[in-house]
Amino acid sequence: MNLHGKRLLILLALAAALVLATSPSLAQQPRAGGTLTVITPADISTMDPHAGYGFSLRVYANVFEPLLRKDEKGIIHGHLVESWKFLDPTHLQMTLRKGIKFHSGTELTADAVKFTYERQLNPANPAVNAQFLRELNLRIRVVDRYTLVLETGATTAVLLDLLAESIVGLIQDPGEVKKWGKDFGLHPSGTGPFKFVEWVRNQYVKLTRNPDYWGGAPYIDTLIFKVIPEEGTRVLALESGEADVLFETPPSAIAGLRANPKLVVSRVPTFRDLNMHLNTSRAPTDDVRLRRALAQAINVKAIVEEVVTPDVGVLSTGLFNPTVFGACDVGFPLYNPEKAKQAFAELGYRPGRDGILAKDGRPLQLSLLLNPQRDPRNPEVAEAIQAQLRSFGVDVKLRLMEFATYAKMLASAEGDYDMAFLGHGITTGDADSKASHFTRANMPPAGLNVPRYSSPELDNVILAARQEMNKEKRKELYCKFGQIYRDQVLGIALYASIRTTTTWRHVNGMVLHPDEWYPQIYPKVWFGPKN
Amino acid sequence: MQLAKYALKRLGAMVLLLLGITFIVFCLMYLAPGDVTLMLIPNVPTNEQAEILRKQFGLDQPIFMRYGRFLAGILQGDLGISWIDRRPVVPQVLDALSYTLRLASVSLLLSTTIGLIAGIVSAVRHRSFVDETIMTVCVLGISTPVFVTGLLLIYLFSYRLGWFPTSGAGSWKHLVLPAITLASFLVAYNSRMMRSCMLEVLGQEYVRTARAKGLRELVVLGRHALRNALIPMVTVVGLQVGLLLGGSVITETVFAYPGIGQLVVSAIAARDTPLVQGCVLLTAGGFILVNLIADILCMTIDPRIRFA
Repeated sequence: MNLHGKRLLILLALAAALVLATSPSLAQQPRAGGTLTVITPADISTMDPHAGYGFSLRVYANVFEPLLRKDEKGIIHGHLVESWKFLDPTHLQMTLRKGIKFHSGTELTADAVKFTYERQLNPANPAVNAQFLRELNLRIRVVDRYTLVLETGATTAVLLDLLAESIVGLIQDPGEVKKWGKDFGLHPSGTGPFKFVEWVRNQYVKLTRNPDYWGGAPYIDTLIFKVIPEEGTRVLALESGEADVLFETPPSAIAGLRANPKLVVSRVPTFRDLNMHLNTSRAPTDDVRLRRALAQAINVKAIVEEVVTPDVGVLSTGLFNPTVFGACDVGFPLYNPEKAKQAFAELGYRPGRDGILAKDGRPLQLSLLLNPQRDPRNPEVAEAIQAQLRSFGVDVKLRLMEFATYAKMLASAEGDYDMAFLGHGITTGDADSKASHFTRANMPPAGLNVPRYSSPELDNVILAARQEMNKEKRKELYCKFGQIYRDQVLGIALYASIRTTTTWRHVNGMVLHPDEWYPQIYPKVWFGPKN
Repeated sequence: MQLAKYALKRLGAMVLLLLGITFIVFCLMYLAPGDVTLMLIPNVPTNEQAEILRKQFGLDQPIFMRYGRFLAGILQGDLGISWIDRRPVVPQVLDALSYTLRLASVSLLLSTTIGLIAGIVSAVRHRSFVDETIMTVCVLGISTPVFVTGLLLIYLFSYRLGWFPTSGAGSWKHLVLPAITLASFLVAYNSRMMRSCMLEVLGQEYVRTARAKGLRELVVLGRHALRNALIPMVTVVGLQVGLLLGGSVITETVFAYPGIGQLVVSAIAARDTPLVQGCVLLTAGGFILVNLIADILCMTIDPRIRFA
């Protein structure tokens, strides 16, 4: 950089400092009032956390709360719980904050916590997302009005992470659950900063501020989640001022929105990452040498930079998003075109007349299974991989499936795919949620071990990491896990997801959390003057 | 009397037809890969967990048992409970249908009045500048995809001008843009149809006779030509009513309009069989009824059409 450029930079920095110092928003006090409208791509299914799924979860966190909560830096805080301590590795004693009231006016007690967890785990009618709790083999003992002891079946390093998880441990009002029974979803009562007002199907969910919220009443009066399924309409609804917050801004709209000075476009790291797993249970991808050649033939860096773009994801060097506890650089991407070419030749593949590699008269044709909706650039990334592999003579058939079909194929006993995209959204922010998929016990159809690979060594590493209470040792175990995945080439790491969220500039106090679902709560949001 | 007998016969056929439709839908939902448990359970369900849900929904029973139970339910006026939100199907479908009806009637009103007038004008001023202009606009209307029209309208009237909300439902303002979007296609179709019908009739000898009798042009067009040209239009518009009743998925999606089209698509994606059945049964029933009414109307307009 020349002198001129440096001087310009210094000037710019000074100007920025000046603007910051005199900026009215810093001097401003939060103002009460207003309606915050948040766009959601799909409707909720119910307001009862027992049966809710998908986008419902984003609404729940404003009405219901868990015992613990993980902040955007990954630190666990007591939420409904004031303090906690491990009596021994399998017994956790928790003390609730006193004086917290449900929206019905009833006080939150240890009995309510026990009631909620037992309702979630009820064997005759388990919560749709009870899986996490169930794996813990949880037993709950109420000690006194505000104290309870959780007993787990085995030592679990992630117990606190799971209790702070965004889906399963939302505490419900036992009196209201019993009163309304199946209709609790229409009359939800929790301890959250907002109370339920109404839900108009396929249109919106309306919540109102809870003036008695234990954490301090919210500034805004009303919180609306507005359903808009079409991408283009979502953007226009935001820009026209009908809505204030748009999560998951469509990549194609980002440049236009950035140019609008009234809007703030934020790149938010998530806990999510995307892999392309390889099916090790059938030919030809059962041969690790071929799997490695495929991984070496794909220029992931170019794809991430050119196709995925930094607003959607950044290059992954390991199996977890760097935001996740346990993330470790294991040397992805493996791209090495020379070695790939050599490996195909050594494996006996020769180009046929059409340019497709073939061995013993059988062309090297592979299927790539993906769901186009879940991650925004999926079809384009798949096409790029298809083109790159084609240049080595590998013929890739893309199989774009709608979600239910895709999920069924991944989890089916037959496993009719050679390669498959799978995004791992980790709601706990801890490596265990993803790693535990790769155990023998989770081999399809029992679970989602998509590479369909298992070895005693891999199982040991994953299970040891789950029980290891020493953080440094746990991290090492997840590095080991990543190395095994890489050495066996169970797939390739594609990218760590970024979520781009757009809000109006006069919306203050938004917390943009890496967990995609849950901590989208708005107790501290307030409206500055609109200019 | 004859009319009543005819209507009864048609209604009988309708029951059979609906029965066939439910069976086909049932089979299709059965054959579709994946089931509702995949949607309900985040990540991937443990087998045990999925089994509990399957049992709750009766998915563990053989298909004919399930179909039989479904039919028994219909006889009692019960279409079951949605698997996704565990609420009764009928009120959900009726709610969505009421939104669809509102949108359908406004866009139908727009498309028939504008379409008929434009068609008649084009026919009467055949090969004139007016005719050419109307027909050019029609080609545009027919060939522009609905989502393009929709997004353009939102951009112009909601974002730029701020006259109407971008999406949602509830007030008359919410209806304007989706109704125009839906109508834009139908207007184009109807006016071309009306034009050709009218042209054909205008070439008939009885029109020449009417003119020769010295009738005023307005009477010739109104009483002699139009009445005959309208007969095919009634059938066409009747079919359009049916089409609109089925909901227009794309328009509803673009405008986030909570009609039946969106409901059925989300129900199919979630493999929510009871909700899909409810949507299909009620819209198909409506479709068949409207067609029956259109046929009866045709007979009233044209006494030459007889009950068969």
